[in-house]
Amino acid sequence: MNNYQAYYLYPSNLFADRQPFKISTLLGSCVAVCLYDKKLKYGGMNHFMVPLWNGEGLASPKYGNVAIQQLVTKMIQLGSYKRDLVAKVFGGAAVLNTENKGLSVGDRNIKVARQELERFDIKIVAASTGGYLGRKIIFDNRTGEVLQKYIKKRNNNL
Amino acid sequence: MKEISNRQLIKLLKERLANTAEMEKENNSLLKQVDKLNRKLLESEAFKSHFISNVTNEIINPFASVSGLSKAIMNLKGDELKNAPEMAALIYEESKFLDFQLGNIFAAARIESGVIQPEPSTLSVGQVLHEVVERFKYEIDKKQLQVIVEAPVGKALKKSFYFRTDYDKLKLILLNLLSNAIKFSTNGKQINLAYGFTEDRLEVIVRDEGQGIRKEELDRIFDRFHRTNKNINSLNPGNGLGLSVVEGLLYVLNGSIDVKSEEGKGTTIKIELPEISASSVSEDEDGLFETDEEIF
Repeated sequence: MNNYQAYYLYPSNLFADRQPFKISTLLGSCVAVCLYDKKLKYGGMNHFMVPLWNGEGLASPKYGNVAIQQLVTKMIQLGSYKRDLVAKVFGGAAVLNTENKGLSVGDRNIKVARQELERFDIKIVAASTGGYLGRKIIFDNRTGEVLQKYIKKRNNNL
Repeated sequence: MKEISNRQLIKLLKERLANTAEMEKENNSLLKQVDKLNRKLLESEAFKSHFISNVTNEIINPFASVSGLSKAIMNLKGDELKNAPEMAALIYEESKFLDFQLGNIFAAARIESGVIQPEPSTLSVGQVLHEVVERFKYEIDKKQLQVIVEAPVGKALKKSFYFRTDYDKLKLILLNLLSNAIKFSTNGKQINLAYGFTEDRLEVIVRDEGQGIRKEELDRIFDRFHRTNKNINSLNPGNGLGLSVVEGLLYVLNGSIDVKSEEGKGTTIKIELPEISASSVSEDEDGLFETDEEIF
């Protein structure tokens, strides 16, 4: 078990590798999608802040639609077939108290994650989303297991 | 079935009507957003093809000068050899320009592919600004611009000697801001670079007396490939990446940007960023957790 490498995933980044990694990240209203290839036994993760790219700034994986598309593309480049991929979705908490009208950023992030994964025909096999608390997750990209803890302190930037 | 009085019924109906009006308002605003986005995406496509012609222009031309000039130096004989330093200086200028352009393109590519992270080190803010001004010395002299760096005093100055942030990213941000200020200034104007701190956040202000930005352009300047002047020629260099890279990098550094501009009078850009703390974010902060771990 010692041959794991650790990777801390920053917001708006994404990471996937065929080598065994423990990929960790902190989530507030952000959402992380972990994709796991059941055949090749490896996976990758993204961490997006807002749901959709609206043509402003750079088309980075800060945006849900970009982040999911890029992660799928990356794993296909690494040799996966889409049919072997399964997804786990985390985050999207309502950490900001100021949001009272309609859906919160967190809710919309979750919604985009579900929509995009459905569009790619990738099944969500586990999820822990919503609520009011931030999360720390560690994704074991060899087994596909995700370890989650809730965070007591509220952090608006994640 | 529960009976309700007429008054209650009217109240209920009124509530529902109010709700419908509210929803219609939201619907309309959403429609407007979609419409705006649609137009933006169409434009973005056009800008993209612009971008490619631009990059070709801005990379191939300097490269041609570099290879042409170095070949010429190789062939210098006798008396002509004394021209070599001047020609080498031109090569140096072109290569600095290329370096800056490529820096922007690679930064944009790294931001867009989600592989960009802060790499902190301790630096002197004044020193970085000095390097940035030095980089554009040739352009500044050519336009006879006056570039004034305003350093803070006392405690703030002392703090500015040891500020922990990402050197390369801060430098690229400042290079872009100064490059724009120079580009949009006419000969003989003044550019001010001021730095200081508010509540531990570094603040850098770049003020020029250039042509300014039109009001309707202001919220488009961070869009990638967007250029206020769309002509491609040697008088109007640039690939429309600069400010979108600045915004992207500031985001990585947890910073922010504020632009104020008046057409014909000049532009003032203020950036703000926090110091990156010595203990990195990735550190496991066990005190924060209130529940046991769960496995999914």
